[in-house]
Amino acid sequence: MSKPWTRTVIRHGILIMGTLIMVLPLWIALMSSTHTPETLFKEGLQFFPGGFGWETYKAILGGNDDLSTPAWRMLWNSLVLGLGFAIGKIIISTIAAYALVYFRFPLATPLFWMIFATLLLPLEVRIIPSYEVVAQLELLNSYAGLIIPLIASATGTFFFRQFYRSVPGELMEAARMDGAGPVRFFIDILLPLSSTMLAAIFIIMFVVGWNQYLWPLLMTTDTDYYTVVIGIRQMFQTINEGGDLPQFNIAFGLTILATIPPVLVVVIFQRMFIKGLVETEK
Amino acid sequence: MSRVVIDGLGKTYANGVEAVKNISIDIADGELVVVVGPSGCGKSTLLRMIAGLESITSGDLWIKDQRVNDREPAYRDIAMVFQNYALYPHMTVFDNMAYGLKNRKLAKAEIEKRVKEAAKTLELSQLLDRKPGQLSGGQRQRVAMGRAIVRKPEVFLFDEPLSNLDARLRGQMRLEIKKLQRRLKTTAIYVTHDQIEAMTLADRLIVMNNGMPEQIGTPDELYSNPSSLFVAGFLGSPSINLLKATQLADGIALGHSQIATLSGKLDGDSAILGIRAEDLRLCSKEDADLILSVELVERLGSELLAVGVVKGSNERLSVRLDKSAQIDEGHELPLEINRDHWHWFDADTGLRNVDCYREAISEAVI
Amino acid sequence: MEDAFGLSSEFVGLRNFTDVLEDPEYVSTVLFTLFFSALVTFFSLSLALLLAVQVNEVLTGAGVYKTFLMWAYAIAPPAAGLVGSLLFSPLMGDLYNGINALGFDFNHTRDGSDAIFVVVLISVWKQLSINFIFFLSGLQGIPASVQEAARIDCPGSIKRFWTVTFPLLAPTTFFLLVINTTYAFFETFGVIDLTTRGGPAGSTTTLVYKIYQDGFLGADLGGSAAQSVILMLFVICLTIIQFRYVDKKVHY
Repeated sequence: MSKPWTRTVIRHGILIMGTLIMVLPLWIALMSSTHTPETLFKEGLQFFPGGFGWETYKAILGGNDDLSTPAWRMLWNSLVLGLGFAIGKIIISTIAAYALVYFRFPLATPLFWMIFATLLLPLEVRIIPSYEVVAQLELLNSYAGLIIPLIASATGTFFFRQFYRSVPGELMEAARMDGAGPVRFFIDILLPLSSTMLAAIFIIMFVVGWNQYLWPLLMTTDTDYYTVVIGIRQMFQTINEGGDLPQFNIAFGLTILATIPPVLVVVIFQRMFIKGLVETEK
Repeated sequence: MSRVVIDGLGKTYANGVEAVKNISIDIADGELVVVVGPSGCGKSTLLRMIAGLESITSGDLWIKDQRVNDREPAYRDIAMVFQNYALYPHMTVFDNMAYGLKNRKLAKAEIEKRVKEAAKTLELSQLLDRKPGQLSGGQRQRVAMGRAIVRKPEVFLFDEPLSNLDARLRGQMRLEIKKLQRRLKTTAIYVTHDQIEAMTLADRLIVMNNGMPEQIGTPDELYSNPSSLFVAGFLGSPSINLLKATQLADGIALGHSQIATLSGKLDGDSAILGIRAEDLRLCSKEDADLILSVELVERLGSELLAVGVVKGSNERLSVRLDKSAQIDEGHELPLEINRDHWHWFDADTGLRNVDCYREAISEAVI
Repeated sequence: MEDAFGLSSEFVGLRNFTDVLEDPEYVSTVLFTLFFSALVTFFSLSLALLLAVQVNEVLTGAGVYKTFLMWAYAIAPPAAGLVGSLLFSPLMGDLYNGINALGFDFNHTRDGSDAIFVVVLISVWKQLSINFIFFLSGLQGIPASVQEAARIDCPGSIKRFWTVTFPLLAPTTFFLLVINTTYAFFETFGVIDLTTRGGPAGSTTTLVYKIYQDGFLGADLGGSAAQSVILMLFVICLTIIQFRYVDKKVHY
């Protein structure tokens, strides 16, 4: 058996390694984004701040030859997608779970399950029909077309179903005695009871929505609707096409901008986020 | 005024199960009726039918001379105290009590007045800003009561409200419920599986079994004149002693292995004799109907309970004795049956039948 | 089958399916996807478990480590992909030259196995956080009394881990196996699209990536839809296994 302090040193050693591996790539990206493309091209990756940061981010946010859309516009689109996805998902899944748990339609039960079985599938496997539907509804290049098909999934419903089922039936009966109808009960009792869970799921869903990739990629051909994640892809294409001097600083900077909002949300609401993640996914 | 008439009430579920069969009782204004029975006997279903939480499939329910079969719970002018209290965990004590009143669109001042009043009665005034999570079991129970009181209902419904409390608190709350009900003079229907709770609280009792009322009456009536073996066995602690009686040529044999012999004649070949623990008395060896070998003595302070087997058999009986009785495990007690308080039941139907047994004429003369 | 302009389509029965299953390219895609998920799942799970156990044991700095180890959850896979591909890129040089200086002939844009290495590495990196979060909360969920009893019964800390702690983590591990497989199948799309684009020569094409390539770049909607159905069957199986197994076997 090794001595306690050597073990502690080993533990911290492993953890510091792990932390470095998780942090360094982003650190390099952040630092490199503050250098001129010439420096990056000549000297490679940068570990320390340079003097070009202001210019880089001004170019990204304000518009640049390599970016078809200024980043503020893409960030705005991402925000709309993240918030719209989170809010829509919560509205749909709380209402659907409420119906599932509290209302009995004997014949409709198998139907419900059929619908939910299909919705359980990731968007990727039903992407072709989803695309067709959205295209025919002429919703390509619109926020509605971007958000609604993503919301249509049963995962959130299951979280809430689980939670509602843990709410004692007596509570509903007491509310009925107190003269609360189905809507009152939902608004006055059920939603406030699940407030921490709502917040936790909101955070997770915001991050998931912000980071959506494949669907916005197919949906948005109009650059006005590009999200910042799609912007990253465009940047990647520009760099790989070669041509003049690749704008590495812009690529790194854009990545940083795409990463900061969801990372901040997760780090600030860490407690709630972990609780939501662990309790809902099980 | 708030008379509750239950007229042939029945509940049959969609799958054909009959949970409640044909119950009728006329509950007077201000009366406290306790429904008691083992779990699964349909007592909770009956209460929930009265509350409107379960639909009524046959019969009629009248509250204050109005037929309320099809009314929503909120419009039956009733209030219910639930087994697990069903307090809204995210609301303060005040809001818990006020919620029902707010939904009935009462004026704010009136709500406040009623809640404060109820809180005072229940000694909750200091706790109005707390949430249920910060309260003890007994306090939560009071809040649940308060929520019922503030509505000033015609009828209180209690669904095993004390079953989540410890024994001491249960005794105390039982008393308070009774006092409160007496003071408010509100008709109340109280469901429990605890026969002591039932006996102490009730003006009248309904003993239920298999969805049917076995007997309805005052606690005294039911204890001293149980209409069936079920009622006799359900009420009273320790349980009533039951012995099989068989007609012999020269008398009546008690027990499977003839632990005692009675003179007299049975109407038929056999019957069942029920004797309460207090109706077995110590006596001299000569007068004894039977001899009990004591296996266990429970000293309850005010009295003493002896459990044992009748000598030479494995028929087990319990006897209630005075606390001063000097007995111990292993002793043999000569016992006499109190013939004034014995209960005869038909062996086949289990129903009370006083005509089962006839004393021998010669003995009656002596 | 559809014509080039999508103007007419004919009913072809199961031909789309047989075409797909007989296509050697598709078969190699299936094999790669399985191989890739196995690698990603294994490495991200074991590294995450290693880190979670250390965080659970250290007395100082656990909170700081936790924050830095979990934050990558919030990073979009394409963002990780872009940074990763630039780090390894011959254009930027540093890592590229470093690896080649060690005597490897490394270039992830030209060599298939190098490309697989890069894609796996980035995918593992991106998935480490969520696994870490689950393992840590799983470890913290083990009652202290059980840990204490084990310390009395079993003096060796490594043996204690494998005989007591790890079996108690079984529900977490199983659950993570399922979501990591799903991750490797679906969410790595963004990583692959921004590092190798399925190349070189299809060596890093997963099933989802192929659906995208055939359906949206190659305009073979029929074949792509058939692939979707096959993929869907796979996901359904996975879900059924998850519900069955989690509900029955791994509960205490």
